Amino acid sequence: MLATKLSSKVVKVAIFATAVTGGVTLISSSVFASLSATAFNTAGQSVSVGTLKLTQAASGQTGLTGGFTTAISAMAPGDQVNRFIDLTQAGTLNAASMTFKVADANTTTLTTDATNGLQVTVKECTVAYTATTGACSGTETTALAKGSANALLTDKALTLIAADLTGGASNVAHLKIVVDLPAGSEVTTNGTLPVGTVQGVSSSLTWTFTEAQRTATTTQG
Amino acid sequence: MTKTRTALVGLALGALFIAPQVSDLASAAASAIAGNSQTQSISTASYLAAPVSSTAASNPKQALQIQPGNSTAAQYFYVKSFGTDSLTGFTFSGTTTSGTLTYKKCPIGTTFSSSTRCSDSSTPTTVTAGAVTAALGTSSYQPMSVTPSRTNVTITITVTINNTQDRAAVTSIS
Repeated sequence: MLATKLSSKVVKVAIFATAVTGGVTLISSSVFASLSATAFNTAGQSVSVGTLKLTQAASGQTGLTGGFTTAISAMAPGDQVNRFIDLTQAGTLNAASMTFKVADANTTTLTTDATNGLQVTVKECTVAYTATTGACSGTETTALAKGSANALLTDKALTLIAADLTGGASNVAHLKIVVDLPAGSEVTTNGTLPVGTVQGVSSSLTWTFTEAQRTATTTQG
Repeated sequence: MTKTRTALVGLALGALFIAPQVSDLASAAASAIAGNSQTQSISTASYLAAPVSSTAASNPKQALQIQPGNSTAAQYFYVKSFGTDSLTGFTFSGTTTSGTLTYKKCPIGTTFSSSTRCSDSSTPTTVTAGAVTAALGTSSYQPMSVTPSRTNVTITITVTINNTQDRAAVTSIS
């Protein structure tokens, strides 16, 4: 009799526990049963990035092909050497600014002496400089006023014709780099050079143009 | 106090985390560089001349001293170019321990045959100390003589070159 009662209680407890567990399971399952919806473009959206490309080369004009790689030798005080460079903007992005500088791998008074050392001017012509004569048959502007090579050891802004900073086409800036060695007032005595002379020295120069991209924009739409 | 310290530590950690992100953004703007890949050599010439006692002399890098001894005869010397540039002239001066000095010159490239004759049979030209016009190429020389008015003196000849006596400046386009 007692055994029958106990068995009946166990059965009741078991039924109750099963009911509770089932209920909890049902509630839990109902959480994952909620609906969701997704929308997306079926054709991929193209996102492309523009390019900024700048190259320099010696002018291709006859007689003006010295460029930056041909050595300049035996300059004397008062001498001027003009080198003609084509700076090509071949990227798709517009450039916002251009700078120019020189580095000297073999430091001499040519780049350490701001007064008696080399002086550099940069001119730009709207058309290619004339072959052989180096004259500008278009409009010539000063992209960089005369200054010492010493000052040019740090970047200096180059004022180019605006169109030559525009991307999307191969815009070419026709530049004339004017290198002067000032006449100075050096006197040599009995075959001896003065201290700090600009005579009989040799520098190794790297000329660098750097342009920055146009100002970044935020576009709506 | 503890809360303040915790906040400061959090702020510092946040700055450390955020700063590099800001820096990355700032340096993300594009730039393009163009330059000569091989360096360009630029060298300069020199204008040098010195007084020497023989045409074959190398650069003495000093003044020329002449001691005629017990004589007032003409003493010969040369103003020789040692630079890499050609010269249009030079400036010379002479000092003596006593008396005065007189100078003559023969044409460039000749020598004195005697005090009154050049090797090209021309007659030496009298010159005074100071600027002398002379087209001197590298290693070429101007023959000169100096005659002291007194014996047993020491003569010192000095030569200088200034930039106007260097070759004419040029403009080159290549």
